[in-house]
Amino acid sequence: MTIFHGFNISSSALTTQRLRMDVVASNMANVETTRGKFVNGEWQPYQRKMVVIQPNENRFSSHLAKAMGRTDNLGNGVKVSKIVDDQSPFKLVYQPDHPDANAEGFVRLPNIDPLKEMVDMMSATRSYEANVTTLNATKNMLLKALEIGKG
Amino acid sequence: MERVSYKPNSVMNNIIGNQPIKKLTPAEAQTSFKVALNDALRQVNDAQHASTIATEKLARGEKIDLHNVMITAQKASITLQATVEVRNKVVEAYQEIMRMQV
Repeated sequence: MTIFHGFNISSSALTTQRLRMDVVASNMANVETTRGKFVNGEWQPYQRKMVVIQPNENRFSSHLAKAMGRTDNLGNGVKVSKIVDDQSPFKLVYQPDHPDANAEGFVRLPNIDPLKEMVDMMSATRSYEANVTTLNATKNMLLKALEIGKG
Repeated sequence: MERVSYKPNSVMNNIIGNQPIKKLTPAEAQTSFKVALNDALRQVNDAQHASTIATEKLARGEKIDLHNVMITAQKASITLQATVEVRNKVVEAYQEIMRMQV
């Protein structure tokens, strides 16, 4: 725990929100992608990606503090532990002239709802802003501490 | 994290009772001050160096997040300011002593 611990926590949050944003961008870009991966001789559409976020506690200092029974351990911020595929069913659209249409003329499109992605995007943007505000507040506290005894 | 107690008694005991102030010879005091200043300056140097490396990485287009570059720069700036503050205090104390009438 140094004076910059708050910085490091906010930094991990910023990285996490950036990654969320990247995932949203990837989903948005692949709304119409019908050839995501090749499984058993046929093309599967792109599957919507989601991030799994968990507190970043897997550090030696965290385990040591826990083993010593201390309750004042803050952890080391947040991290994305994995990116998973959304398992909900694909959208079916009737488009007989599409190159990836099946025998009945239906095309399977990715399970992405642009509206959901917009909400995720706004959430990630606002969280990023909130964490920048936290970071600036931490910095201002440190600068205020340097003013002790001045004047 | 160090546990902070807000009870005035325990704080006073810690300062006055449990840890008697060690008598330092002038030579010892100077050495410990020299070591402390050296450490602080090295930390400033490290922070500035880390900031330079992060900026260079960004400029070269390597894989680094923009906010991490900014945060490293801020860390360097705060470390430098803290050291300058300490230096100002030391110079102030020195000048105070030099102004003393003998």
